[in-house]
Amino acid sequence: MKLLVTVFDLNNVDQLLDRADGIIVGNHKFGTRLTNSFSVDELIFCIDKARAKQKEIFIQANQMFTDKHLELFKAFLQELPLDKLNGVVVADIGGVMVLEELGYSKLAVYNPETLHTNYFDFNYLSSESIKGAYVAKEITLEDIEMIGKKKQHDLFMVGHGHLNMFYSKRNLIQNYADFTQIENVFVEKQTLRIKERTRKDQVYPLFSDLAGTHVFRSKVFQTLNVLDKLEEIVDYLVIDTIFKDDSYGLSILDMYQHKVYNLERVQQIQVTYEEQWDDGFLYFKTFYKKGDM
Amino acid sequence: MAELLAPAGDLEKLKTALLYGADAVFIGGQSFSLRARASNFSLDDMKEATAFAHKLGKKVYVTTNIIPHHEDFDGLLEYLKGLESAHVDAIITASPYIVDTALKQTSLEVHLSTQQSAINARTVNFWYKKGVKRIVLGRELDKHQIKELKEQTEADIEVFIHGGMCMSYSGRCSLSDNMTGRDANRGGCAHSCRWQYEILDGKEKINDTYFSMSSKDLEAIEQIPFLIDANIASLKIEGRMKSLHYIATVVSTYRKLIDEYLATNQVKDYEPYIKAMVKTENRLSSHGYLEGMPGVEQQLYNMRSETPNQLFIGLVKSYDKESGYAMIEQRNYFENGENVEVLMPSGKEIQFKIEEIYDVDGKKIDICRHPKQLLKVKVPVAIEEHAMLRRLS
Repeated sequence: MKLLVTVFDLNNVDQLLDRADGIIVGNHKFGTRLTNSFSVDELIFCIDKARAKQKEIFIQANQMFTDKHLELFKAFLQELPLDKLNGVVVADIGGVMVLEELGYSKLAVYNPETLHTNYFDFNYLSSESIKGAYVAKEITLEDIEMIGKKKQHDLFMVGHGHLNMFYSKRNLIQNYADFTQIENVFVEKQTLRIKERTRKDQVYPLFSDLAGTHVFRSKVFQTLNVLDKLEEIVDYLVIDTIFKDDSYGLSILDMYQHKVYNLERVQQIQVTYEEQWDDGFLYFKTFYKKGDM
Repeated sequence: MAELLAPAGDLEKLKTALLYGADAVFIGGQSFSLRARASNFSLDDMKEATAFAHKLGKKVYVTTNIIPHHEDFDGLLEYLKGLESAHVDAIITASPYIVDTALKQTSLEVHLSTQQSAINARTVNFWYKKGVKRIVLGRELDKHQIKELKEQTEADIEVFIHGGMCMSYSGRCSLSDNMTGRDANRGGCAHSCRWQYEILDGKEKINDTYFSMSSKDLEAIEQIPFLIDANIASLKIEGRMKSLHYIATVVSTYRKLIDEYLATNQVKDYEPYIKAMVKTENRLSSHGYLEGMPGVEQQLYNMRSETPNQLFIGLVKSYDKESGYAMIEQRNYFENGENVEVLMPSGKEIQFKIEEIYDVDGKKIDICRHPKQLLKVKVPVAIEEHAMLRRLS
């Protein structure tokens, strides 16, 4: 199982590459919920760094695409040295098709967020010879293991980080600012939170970028306790550091590399970054309606 | 010619939708369908539904649009074979597992659900090449993007024209899963996007007004001619959980609008159509993404913007030409002396004042307060079976 981490600051790419097996970077015109956005030149810088260190590099281009946007995406990809990439993470089948047109379907890593809840759907694009796919964030460890046993391409999974639970194309924060007649100084600002009236203890990060508006889980998802099991089936475990910096990424990488759940260290990180961790849906099965619980 | 596609939560609604002018209806079965709370159809119901629809030259589609977990696989093929034997005209599905099983092991026509959020021609053509005949587009496209997309594909395209809007890309939202445990992609959506939230920057509240992701409903009355000209195969009304009156009014209104445009190549005045919709609206509506990115005017920030519609007071079960009495099933409180309007399946509307009401025993009554009570009401002109009485507001 390889560990991938997202990047906040180019100055830390070397350090991150020294510790991780690879990095994930993106540009906000095509990627969404990025830890940071980098220009084409900066992405090429990252690619060269990864190559020099014989590490892996992935481009995150996980926006939903209209036809015109796909043409821009194609042009963007053509500016990159695709031969030097290990993968391009896309959330839209149209993105996979663009990679196929360029002769690089083998780079496609399909991440449709919620949709890969069973092994068949997970494997469906193997006919397109893609590199891999992400499993859904909302399934149990047992379901992930089942998918892992029957996988026909690489299995990617977010192993640590803030997981999003809502992605709208609408500019909901701008709309709210218009409604309340306040100035919108919140685009790509990472400190916005929302709190539901009856769930006061749950504070959900709210984020707006060029792709639209996103709401995240209140707790940080972690898989430190199940790494032994994941190692048997997961090819790439992703540490997503959105809302954080690279020192956070380095600390987390350290723990996952050594597979140590050091309570004191965990608490220290949680206090420093004012966050709580949980294991998401690993042991919790969603249900259809109240009666099915 | 563009098909008008309507939702139906049960057999009565299905018949109403078809009689009021829908060319096809979509229904949910008791398995593999979202909207777990809708009163979904048994196989026998579906057989009755298809027999009724086919006699009118119309179609029935069945939603099998959950995103299954492994435990949901059991019984799928048997279920699909059942749909085949019930002669349903197509299934609307989102999961590749269901798409693939249906295409390879049954003769069912397959439509791709909006849960896959297909919003570009490459994605549409990917599914079309797999054997999916029709694609229900995501709601995030404006009308020009829809037209341009259609120009690049041979697949039939279905577009939402009316009803509730998912705020997230459909199928990609797990607010409900995370906040309530209810699986949005398996029929349990708790509509958490319509709740109200305090909004903070760090720990500081940025405003006292609650934040909400809630959207006005979609209403595409003024976009219908454009969509017809864009060669869209199906114009879809959303809402399998909506009332009989809602379905009759919405279907009837779009039917008349489409027919006017097809007959005259123009729509003289949109206002009567817009006014007709207001009679059944329980949430404000707008044109969604069809005219471009939705702004503040398309949002709902008030928790209780939904109000039950009390206009619908009775359903006409039969009409006796000789006596001039209609047998009416009560649906909401009404009294003798009220002015009412009758909406008929043919689209005709009349108005009259209620002057005589009797119960089934022939006893004269003035106040009708019992739901589903059968009542004989004197009507001044002939009215059609399945017509709806509504209070003139």
